[in-house]
Amino acid sequence: MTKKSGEQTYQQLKTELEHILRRMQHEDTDIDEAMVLHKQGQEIIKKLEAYLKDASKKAGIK
Amino acid sequence: MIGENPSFSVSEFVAVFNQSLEMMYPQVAVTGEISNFRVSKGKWVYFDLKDEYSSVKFFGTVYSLPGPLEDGITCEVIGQPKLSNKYGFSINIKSIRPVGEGSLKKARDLLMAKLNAEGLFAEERKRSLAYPPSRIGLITSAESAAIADFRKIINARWPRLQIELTDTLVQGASAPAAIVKALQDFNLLSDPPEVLVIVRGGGSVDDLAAFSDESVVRAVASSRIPTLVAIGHENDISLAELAADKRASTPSNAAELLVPDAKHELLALQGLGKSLSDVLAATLKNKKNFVQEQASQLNRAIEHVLTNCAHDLANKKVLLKAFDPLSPLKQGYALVRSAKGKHIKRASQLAKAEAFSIQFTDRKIQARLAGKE
Repeated sequence: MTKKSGEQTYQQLKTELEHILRRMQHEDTDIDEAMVLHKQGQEIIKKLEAYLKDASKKAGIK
Repeated sequence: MIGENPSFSVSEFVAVFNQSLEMMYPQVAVTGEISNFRVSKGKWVYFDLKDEYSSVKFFGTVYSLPGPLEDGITCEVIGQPKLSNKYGFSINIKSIRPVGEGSLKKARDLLMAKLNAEGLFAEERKRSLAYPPSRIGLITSAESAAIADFRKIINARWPRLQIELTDTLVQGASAPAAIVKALQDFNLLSDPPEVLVIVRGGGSVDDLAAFSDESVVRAVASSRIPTLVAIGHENDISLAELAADKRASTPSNAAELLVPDAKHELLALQGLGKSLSDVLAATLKNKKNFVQEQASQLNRAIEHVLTNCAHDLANKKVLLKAFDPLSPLKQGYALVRSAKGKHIKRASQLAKAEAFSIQFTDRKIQARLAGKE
């Protein structure tokens, strides 16, 4: 699959989400930071869901 | 009476005698049994021809011999009678040929032994013939039954064969030279045919003798063009046939060996074509099944991967929701911030009368610290 320059791969997005989740679990994380991270996490999840949906479509899997 | 007889010196007599002979018998053919046969210096041949009562001397070169000869063989010798100045009467040989079945066979056996020793009949010398050839040279008599038989079989089996015919003497004293010339002429062509075919129908031993003549056998053996020779009937084997690349028993057999039967070839090709189609169809079916199986495996693999990714993502989504920093507010907790917006975690962070905000799940209120407990 060709990827546009600047677009992240599925693996890169997944790694970033895991990093966000680890940060949010940490007790030193400030609430404001947690809110930002939470929002970022939601955006990444949307991207990952769209990625999987597109891959399933291209593979002919419903 | 003296004076009534012609009178000559010796030399004059020889000259007159030879002149008379030349007028009356410039060339004679004499048949008799060879005796006192000898070859001198590898070049000069001397022998006597004799019968029950008489004997005549003959003299010539080895080039006039049809093959090896020896005492006892009966021959017809063609030559010029002559009285030599010094050596007496002899006949100068022009050509010799064995006559009579016994003599012909004996001469043939002598020649066969000689040429066999030279390796002319060796199997290793035999070349394979083009099969089928597109063009052949045919050496035979144009009016013979042999050529009719040959052409009939060719036309039935492989009518597209091009035949270049050289009409040739196939028996008699002049036949060997004619056959040799025909062979040589074909070999000298810049675009020679692929095969030379020599055929001759059945006949007596004498009739077929030309094909056991040494010059003919050597010409067949030395032909650059591969040769197929068929002389006489099944049991007649001439030396030319032994020297040829391939021998056929009869002219008809020669045609059968030379070209395949087009009808049989067509049937065989059709059968082969069907077999090829069957094999191709089976191969394609196997390939198709294999590819379909591979495609199914691929689909199953990608589905597995996508399913795993979806499960993993679903888990992370649940986790993220659990870590939502504002979800405790729904449970009754409140978020306290200073006037500057800083998150207040402890009461000690606030001074008396300092303004601060409290965020509940439904709204935010402003407050001022009255006192601490």
